Amino acid sequence: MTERRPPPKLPPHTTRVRRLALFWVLNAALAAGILVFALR
Amino acid sequence: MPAAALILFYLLIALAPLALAAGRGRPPRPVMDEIASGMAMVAFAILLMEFVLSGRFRSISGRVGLDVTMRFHQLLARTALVLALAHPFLYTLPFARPLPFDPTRQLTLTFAAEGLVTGVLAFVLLPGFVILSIARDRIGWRYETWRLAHGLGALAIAVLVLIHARHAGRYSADPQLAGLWAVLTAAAVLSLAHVYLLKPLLARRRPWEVTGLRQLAERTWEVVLSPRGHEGISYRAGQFAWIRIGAPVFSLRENPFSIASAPGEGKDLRFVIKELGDFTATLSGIPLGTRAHVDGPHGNLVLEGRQGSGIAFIAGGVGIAPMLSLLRQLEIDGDPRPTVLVYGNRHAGQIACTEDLARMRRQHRTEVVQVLSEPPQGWEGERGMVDAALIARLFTEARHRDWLYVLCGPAPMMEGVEEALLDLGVAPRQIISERFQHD
Ligand SMILES: Cc1cc2nc3c(=O)[nH]c(=O)nc-3n(C[C@H](O)[C@H](O)[C@H](O)COP(=O)(O)OP(=O)(O)OC[C@H]3O[C@@H](n4cnc5c(N)ncnc54)[C@H](O)[C@@H]3O)c2cc1C
Repeated sequence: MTERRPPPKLPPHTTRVRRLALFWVLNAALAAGILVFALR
Repeated sequence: MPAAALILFYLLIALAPLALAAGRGRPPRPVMDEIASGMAMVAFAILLMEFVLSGRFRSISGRVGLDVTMRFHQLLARTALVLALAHPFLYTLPFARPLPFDPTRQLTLTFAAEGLVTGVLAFVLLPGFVILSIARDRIGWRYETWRLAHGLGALAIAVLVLIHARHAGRYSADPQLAGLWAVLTAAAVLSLAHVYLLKPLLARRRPWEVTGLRQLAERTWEVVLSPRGHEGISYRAGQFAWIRIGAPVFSLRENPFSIASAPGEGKDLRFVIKELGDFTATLSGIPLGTRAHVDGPHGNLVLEGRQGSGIAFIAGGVGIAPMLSLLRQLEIDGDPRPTVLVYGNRHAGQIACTEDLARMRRQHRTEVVQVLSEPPQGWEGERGMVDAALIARLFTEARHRDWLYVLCGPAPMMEGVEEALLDLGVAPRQIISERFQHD
């Protein structure tokens, strides 16, 4: 019988990282907007 | 999804100045100069939107929650700061008086005193302002003083930046963009007026009165407010309100507290309040009949619109307040789902609302798990902290995977519990929480 592996552990502070992800997505979108504006 | 729509709307406004500036069809300047102007315009748009993201608008915080609204307010302030501070250093064009053959200012930067002085002032004030906000709890000001300084300081900086943009910017004097700045500045000023003038004026017409006050546990009080001459507020279990007790409507002595009563119990509002600082420490001496004002309901720590085959309430200390409301309403509604309440405190003298807990056990068959980190001799409940180990032990069964988890308590407890639940395979949307402290 094969041994069942425990589910992979999430890295610590997953929730905080997950919340910050949205912030960085927003920042990236703003940066992209500025670049498009500058390179028009 | 309304939250996603809000974020898109935010992006749209933050980038609108760039679209309007580009729409004028001016000849381009060196890329670095355009990036600098672009950064400055986005920073200003963010700055003006910070006023609206201040947490007092139900249409925003009611959708995404106060925690998320405040966190965005705090994080985006940092984005605006970085953009604003970096932009002056990116310009490559020389400062000079306008050249007669360069009407669109493609070759020089504006050298007008109004633009420079206001820009330099804002440049110096903005970082100080942000540091003062981040270090709020460490600078030792009263919260009310800080709040007033924060509102007025932000307004002063916004006005400086408005003048700076108008005089130093290549684009901001154009009618369309000037119009956008006017609209956003008006929105900022109106949101201040809304919180500091309109809400107090409305509150004056809907007074409340302290009709109950008793000590529940060590440094923990129950306060009951009853509406006088009106119908009270219509709220959902788990929401909170800003309340002002025995202070004039225009005073800044206003604090947020979760409503611990349930909508189904009637019009009176019950609060469970822990003595902590200057307002809460005066509670014990408040006479019955004292005038109060209530601004609410706010917040979205609510069960409506959420799924779960059972519900676990995990509270630390005074974080029990919203749980009482939620559990009481389930009891009134005769909700058939199983419920567990995990309630952590340091010692037995801090356990509040024992009658409510007993009633929940008896009538709603709620499983109440009491946790003490300094238990007395013979304590039969759990020992230690409300931490990952305890959660992993309590919610191991497969049926717990799709329960709903409601968290309220000290930040380290909530973070630990959240991690533990995610580790157990609970989906993030099944975990909802509210912070009492926005640091
Ligand atoms: C959504 C929410 C719900 C809350 N529910 C409860 C509850 O049910 N029971 C309870 O005991 N506590 C609750 N709190 C915490 C409560 O608001 C603070 O403990 C209280 O405002 C402290 O006021 P103070 O004047 O006694 O202390 P201070 O010494 O003036 O303040 C201590 C800290 O409390 C916070 N605070 C103070 N005034 C305000 C304010 N006007 N707005 C926002 N934060 C403020 C600040 O972080 C401040 O640093 C809640 C907080 C929030 C945000």
